[in-house]
Amino acid sequence: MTLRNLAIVIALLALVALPYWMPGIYYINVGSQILFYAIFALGLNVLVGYAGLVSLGHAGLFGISAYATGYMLQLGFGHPMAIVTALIIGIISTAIFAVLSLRSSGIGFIMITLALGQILWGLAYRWISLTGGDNGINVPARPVLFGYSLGNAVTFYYTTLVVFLLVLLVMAVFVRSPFGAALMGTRDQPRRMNALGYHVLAIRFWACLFSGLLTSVSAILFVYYTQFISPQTLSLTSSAEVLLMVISGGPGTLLGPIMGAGLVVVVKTVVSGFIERWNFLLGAIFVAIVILMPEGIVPGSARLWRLATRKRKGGTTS
Amino acid sequence: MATDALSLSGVHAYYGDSHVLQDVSFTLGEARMLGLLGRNGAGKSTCMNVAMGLLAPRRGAVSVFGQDVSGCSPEQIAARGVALVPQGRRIFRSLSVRENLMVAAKKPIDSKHAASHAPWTIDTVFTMFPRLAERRDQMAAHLSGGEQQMLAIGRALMGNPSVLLMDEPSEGLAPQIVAEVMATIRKLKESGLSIILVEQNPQLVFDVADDIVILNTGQVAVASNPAALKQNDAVLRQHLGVF
Repeated sequence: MTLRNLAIVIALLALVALPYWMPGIYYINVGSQILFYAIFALGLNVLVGYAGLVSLGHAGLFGISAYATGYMLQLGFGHPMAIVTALIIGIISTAIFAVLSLRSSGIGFIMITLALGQILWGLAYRWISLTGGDNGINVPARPVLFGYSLGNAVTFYYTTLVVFLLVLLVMAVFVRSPFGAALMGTRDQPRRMNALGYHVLAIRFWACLFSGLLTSVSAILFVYYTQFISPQTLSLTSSAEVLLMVISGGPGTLLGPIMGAGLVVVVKTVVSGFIERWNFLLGAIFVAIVILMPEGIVPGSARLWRLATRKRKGGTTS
Repeated sequence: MATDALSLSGVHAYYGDSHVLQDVSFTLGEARMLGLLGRNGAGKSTCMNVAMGLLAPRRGAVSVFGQDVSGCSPEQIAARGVALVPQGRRIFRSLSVRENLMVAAKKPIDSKHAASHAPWTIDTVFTMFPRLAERRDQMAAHLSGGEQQMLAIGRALMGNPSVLLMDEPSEGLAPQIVAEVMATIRKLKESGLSIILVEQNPQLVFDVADDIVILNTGQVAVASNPAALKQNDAVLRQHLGVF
């Protein structure tokens, strides 16, 4: 077994056994948060890492699916109906988002997504009859799955873990697929992809939809976790936070956004209990990452590891 | 009856206000190789960009197998069986060798060339370029210049083209690698592919091309065949500054 496969098996075992070695319910819930934020970050990574399109409005899409779930449940529909509707609305919203924002790339794309995200945030605040305004929407209860209530922290964690592993598998297949390679081609050389016979805009559009699907999945898990959704979820800070997860972990990698989600969630939830100025700490960590590993934690650590092993080998031979 | 694989007729093209191509016309016959020669800035690469749809001509027409493709997008022209090996390779540096080839894979279009040849696959490209097979999982950015050129050619072939446009494939390569690349181009010609070979070095082109077009300051200065041109030192000196 290679070192890489061994690491994957250990990580999987650690995740599966997490409720048994974590000191309490609070930390199991932190684990759930890391997992669904990791799905969100993986979704954004499709655009940022693989398509080279930096979105600052993804919290808006996240919020739409979360509100859709909450609203459907408030109207009295069942959980399956609420989830399916949230996914459909999420994908339709992403399609509209994509049609408007893909007219541009680079700074233009960032500005359009930022503006769209802010419009949705404003709507969530002001369209009180639909969103409840600042009071938000409460989700009455978590669903019961195969006789197990997701109201239980451990059951919710395992459900999130199963969804997370499925998303990870889909992402791994996506990255290695011809479509994944074509998407990376549009990131590196869109003009060349044109000359190879690809419709760059169409590829980017499908990538947006895939990103939107993962965003919706994470939003549904989020709204069931918090059992509450308010305009704060759609704010620019939320969009920046998930972008920070992707960039700090390593865009264009599978593991990077997961590491980034772990870092941000732990600092935000656990460290903030001990340090009042946790925002300062998060900023300092981000600055350190940018200086020491500008490519992100995962590719940066791999580079430093290679450098260290090469030096050690060099020292041994000399 | 012989058909034209690609033709430019009366093409005028501009970069902004710069009139780069002025009334350029030439024809590439099916299963033939046309050498496009000229000094730096003569308009050779611009001709390739116009033929591929990367630059729209303001006047004139471009046709592929008799069908007008003037003003068509690059993907529409690629769909008609035209592929470009660009100057400077322009491979996808962050993708592996295999992924670079996988990205370009397309089914052959319904053409005479496609009907008489097995389609290109990753395996057949690796057979043609064994060095790429050895480095299939390596990032393209880590390949040597010669290997990158082979990858650029292999990537164009993966689109199963009927017309191949090659923009200075020998640029920046060591003489031994240039010989390898030229041997590959010869094989492709023998396979019946219609090829336009853009070069600054006329010696390379004279050995393989059926027809020669020399561009000078954006205009067709000479259209002839290699045998006749080899005898005409004055013309070569005037337009290419050699011999």
